[in-house]
Amino acid sequence: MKGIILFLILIFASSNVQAASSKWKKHYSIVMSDIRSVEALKTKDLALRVRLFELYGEKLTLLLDKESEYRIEYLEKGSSKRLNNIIRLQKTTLAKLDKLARRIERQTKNKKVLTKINYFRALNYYLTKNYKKFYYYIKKAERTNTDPKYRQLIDTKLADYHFNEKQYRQAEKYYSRLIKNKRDPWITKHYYNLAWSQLKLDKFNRAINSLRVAHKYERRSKNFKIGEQLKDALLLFYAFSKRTKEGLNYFKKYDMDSFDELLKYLHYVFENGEKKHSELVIKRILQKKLTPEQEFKLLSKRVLVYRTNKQFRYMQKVLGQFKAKIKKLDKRRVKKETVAELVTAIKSYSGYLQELVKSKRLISKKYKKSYVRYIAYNFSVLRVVDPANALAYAYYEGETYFSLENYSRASFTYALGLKKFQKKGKRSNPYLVKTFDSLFKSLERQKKVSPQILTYTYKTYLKYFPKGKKSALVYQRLANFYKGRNENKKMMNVLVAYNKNMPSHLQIQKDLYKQLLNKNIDAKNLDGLVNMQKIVDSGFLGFKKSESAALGKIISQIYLSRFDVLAKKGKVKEAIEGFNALFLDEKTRYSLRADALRKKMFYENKAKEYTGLTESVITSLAFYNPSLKKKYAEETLYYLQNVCLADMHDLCLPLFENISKDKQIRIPKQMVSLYWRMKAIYSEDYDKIYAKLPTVEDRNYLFKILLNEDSSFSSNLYGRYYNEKEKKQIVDAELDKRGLRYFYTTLDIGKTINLLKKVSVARVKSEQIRKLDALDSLLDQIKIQLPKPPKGDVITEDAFMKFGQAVDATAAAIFQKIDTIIKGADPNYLPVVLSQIITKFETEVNKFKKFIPVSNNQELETAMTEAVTNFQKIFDQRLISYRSLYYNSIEKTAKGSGAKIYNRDIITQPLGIGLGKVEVWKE
Amino acid sequence: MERVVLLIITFLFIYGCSGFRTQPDQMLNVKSQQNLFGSQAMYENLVKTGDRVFLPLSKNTCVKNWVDTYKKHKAILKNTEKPKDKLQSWFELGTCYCYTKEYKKTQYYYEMVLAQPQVTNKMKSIMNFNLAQIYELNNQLNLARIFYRKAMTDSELKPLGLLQLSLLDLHAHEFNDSLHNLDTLKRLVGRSEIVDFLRGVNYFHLNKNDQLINKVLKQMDEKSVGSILLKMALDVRERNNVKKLEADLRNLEAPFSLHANFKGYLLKKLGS
Repeated sequence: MKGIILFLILIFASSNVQAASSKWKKHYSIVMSDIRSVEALKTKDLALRVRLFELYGEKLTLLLDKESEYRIEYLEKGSSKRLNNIIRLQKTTLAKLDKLARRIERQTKNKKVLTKINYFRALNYYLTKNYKKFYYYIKKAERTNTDPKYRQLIDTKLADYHFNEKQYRQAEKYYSRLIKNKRDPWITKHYYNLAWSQLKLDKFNRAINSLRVAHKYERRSKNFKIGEQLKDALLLFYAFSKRTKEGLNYFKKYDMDSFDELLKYLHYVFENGEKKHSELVIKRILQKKLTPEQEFKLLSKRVLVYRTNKQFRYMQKVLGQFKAKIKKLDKRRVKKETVAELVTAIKSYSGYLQELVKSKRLISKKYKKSYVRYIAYNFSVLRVVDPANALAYAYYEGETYFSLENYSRASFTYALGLKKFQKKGKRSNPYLVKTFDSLFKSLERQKKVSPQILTYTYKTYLKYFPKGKKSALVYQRLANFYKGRNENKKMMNVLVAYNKNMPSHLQIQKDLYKQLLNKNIDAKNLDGLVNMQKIVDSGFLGFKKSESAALGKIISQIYLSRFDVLAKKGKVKEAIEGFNALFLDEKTRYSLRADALRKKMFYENKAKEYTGLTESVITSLAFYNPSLKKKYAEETLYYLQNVCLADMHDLCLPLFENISKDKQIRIPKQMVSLYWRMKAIYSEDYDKIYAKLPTVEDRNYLFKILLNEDSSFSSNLYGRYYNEKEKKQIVDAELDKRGLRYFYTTLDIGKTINLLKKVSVARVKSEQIRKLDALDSLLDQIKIQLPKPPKGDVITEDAFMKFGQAVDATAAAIFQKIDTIIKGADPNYLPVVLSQIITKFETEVNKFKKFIPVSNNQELETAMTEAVTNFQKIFDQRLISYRSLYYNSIEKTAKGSGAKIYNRDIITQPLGIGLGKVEVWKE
Repeated sequence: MERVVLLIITFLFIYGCSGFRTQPDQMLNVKSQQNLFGSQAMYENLVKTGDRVFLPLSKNTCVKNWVDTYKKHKAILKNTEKPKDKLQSWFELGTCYCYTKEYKKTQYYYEMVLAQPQVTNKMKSIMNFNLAQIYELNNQLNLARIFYRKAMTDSELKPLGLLQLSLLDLHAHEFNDSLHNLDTLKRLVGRSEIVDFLRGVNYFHLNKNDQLINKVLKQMDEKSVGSILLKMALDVRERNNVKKLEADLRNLEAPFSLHANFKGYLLKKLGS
């Protein structure tokens, strides 16, 4: 579509050209046809000649029109043929016109005709730029003219001619004439030119008045408009006339105080008017709200004004204000050429200042210093105005300070320039190397260099030039700089970069590495050392694993020494916490964690923090690898011993149990003994404990515990101890008397047997039970029954005889049986047996004693009574002997059997002594 | 009911105030606390008699201030590393556990003491005495006798040893042996109402009333509880004026345990 439109435009343009050409040809052919018609006449009167003069004048005009077309063609195509033809035709036509005019002059004295002919002859020469002849004939026409119409034309031509020829006095004369015709639509132009003429004649006030009139006519719609030129002239004339303030008021009144107009006015005032008044205009401009573009333009102008006015200090102030303001301005809205204009202005101004500084005589030293500062500052302004070339300006600014021997400021400026350049992300610039060179020089010349600038310089240089001879030096200097400041991490980074970019400098880098290593060690810089180790692990500088291991050891030592120091200061708790934190940190190396744990245990032990120590030791068992467990087994056992000997049973027992599960650690017998002895306090599984006890002494100990815990001897373990002679004696001694004692306390065979049944030692138990069973059996055998006496009121002899024989026989049997029982009784139980015998026998005897034989026969009765009494005597004697035997048997019971309480009478019921035990403990 | 309340209060006191753990090494559990109270009551009972035979007991400290003594020695054991330095604390703790009847612990600590070469004869005697007492309480009387005798190698412990042996004999109804020990004891301590009383009890059970009167009662303070009881014992045996006797017995104040036991015995006899 665009193509079609373009094509149509071309067609249209082409058709216009063709139409114009065709119109010219048509016009030209008509004129030529008329000429030929008039020329064809043999005789020509004045009127025809005047007509012919007009036609040739027309032809000349057409040829002049064509000339401009062909001249353009010549310039475009280089072909001058048609142009030359036209010029030739023009000359011929002009010659013809001249010839015709002379003839007409000879032919008539009519002033009107002569005026007309000379006027047009003048015009023709004007058109062919022959102003001399123009002036000659126009003056001729002026002289002959009487027609006011022609006068206006002639005066106009003459006024313009004189004006163009800078003949302002004549021009003023003719324009003064022309302005009299107030209806002339060209009056604006006449006044304008009159004003100019007057100005040129230094008639400033008149000139301004004329111009103001022109401005007045300009505003009328029918009149010719001069436009901007007129406004421009007004600005200029007010400036010229040094009526600056009046001008400002006028412009304001007629709305001619736009920024551009005022800026132009400023220019005119500064260039052509009262320079001092420039500030008035500037102030008026500053009253306006300016766009960034206008700010730039104004500053450019002000730089020019103040420079010329030598208002340097003020200039610097303005520049300072602008520099502050520019950050807020949207520089994208400023045209490049405007920026360029300002840059040029500031540069010129700075150049001017430099010239002043260079000059030896023009200004004093004091001013020179100030000016140099101004120059430097101006570069800083330029950096802001024209950031694209900031590095260059920074360089020059730096150079300025350098020239003043202000190396510190210079270095700062160079560095700042570099920083800004760096920010842009560009890598090359013609000023980059220069700036670095100057920066290094300025740094070298300073006694005390700013560390920030120094490091920045080195770092930035290495960024742009990571390799090279100079870079190597910079790496070394930067590394040494960091070394001096103990910034070891940074030093390491430099070293790494140095190695990366220049690996061939291995020896230097190794030296630096060693220095850094020593530094880190001296400073106990753990982070640094850890970092170094990581780098070494990655094969840095060709170091081997041994170097890494050595570093690891150093790191561990430092880590641990940090908390050791705390502990030495008495802050053991903090030290323990520190070691614990180190141990818990899973990012830390295993070996270091293990060392930290060991240290923790060491201090926990030292501080008697046995709860923590126990937990730590248990933790270590899970944490240590087999080789560490083996290596530190003694430590582990030492802590176990301390916990256990500290009487911390609740800690000792689980700790021992944990350690004993570990196959890597062999617990010494002594500790095993201690553990099981302690364990025996809290456990009742004595069989298990017995099996674990390593020594005879331990087993003896357990036996004592057992005696305490199992006084009834029911534990099967007694069976094992019973195999030992000493233990057997103890058990026998206790159990032997115990059964007896219990029996004589209770007099209950069943209960005593039940008590004995609990005893686990079968041999002792069965023997005693057997004795008690035997006793029971014996007691069962004690069945004493004497024959019943014969019944009836009267006892016959036979009956008594039979009874007597029966008593005799029975008593003998009873006595025999009792003797047998007594003989069969265990001496310790004999008092019981005898008591039973006595009791039962006595009962029977008492029954017997109740028998009183009665007979009708007195003799028989006496005999029977005597017999019965004899029996009674026998029985009583028996009873006495049994009782005697009983008391003897009491004395013969084993010591401690408990039978002796029954020393007052036979045993019928349990007796006590009426006293309890007295529990006495001695401390 | 009161006993239950006391138990609960004791429980709350122990667990509330001291924050004990129920670990093996806890300071005191409820049972131990009760046992301690019992031991303290017995101790006070003995000491209150003011009898010479119990004079050595006045030096006892753990029974009076068990917790502090325990803590003190536990702390020493914790903070001292050398067994030699721990010796005294093991010894003291072993004895302290006698009062709470935690005899296994006593045995443990005494064994630790005995394993040290620095153990003194005095310590050994005291330990033997206390172990004898433990055996006695466990009804292991043979061992008790052996250990009392061992303890008596120390002169300070001899009176107490003799007293305990005489009581053992008494309980074993070996009255002559008991008398023999008591006579020896009497020679050692001089005037002792308890010794005389026990001698009298022996004579009583031996049915040696004359000797009871002549060898014992004549030497005793007539107003002493022991003397009154022994006289009453004779009357009980004779069963003279039973009702008055029973009333007198009941009215007799007998704070010392042995006196109280015997008083009860006589009352029982009167009733049977």
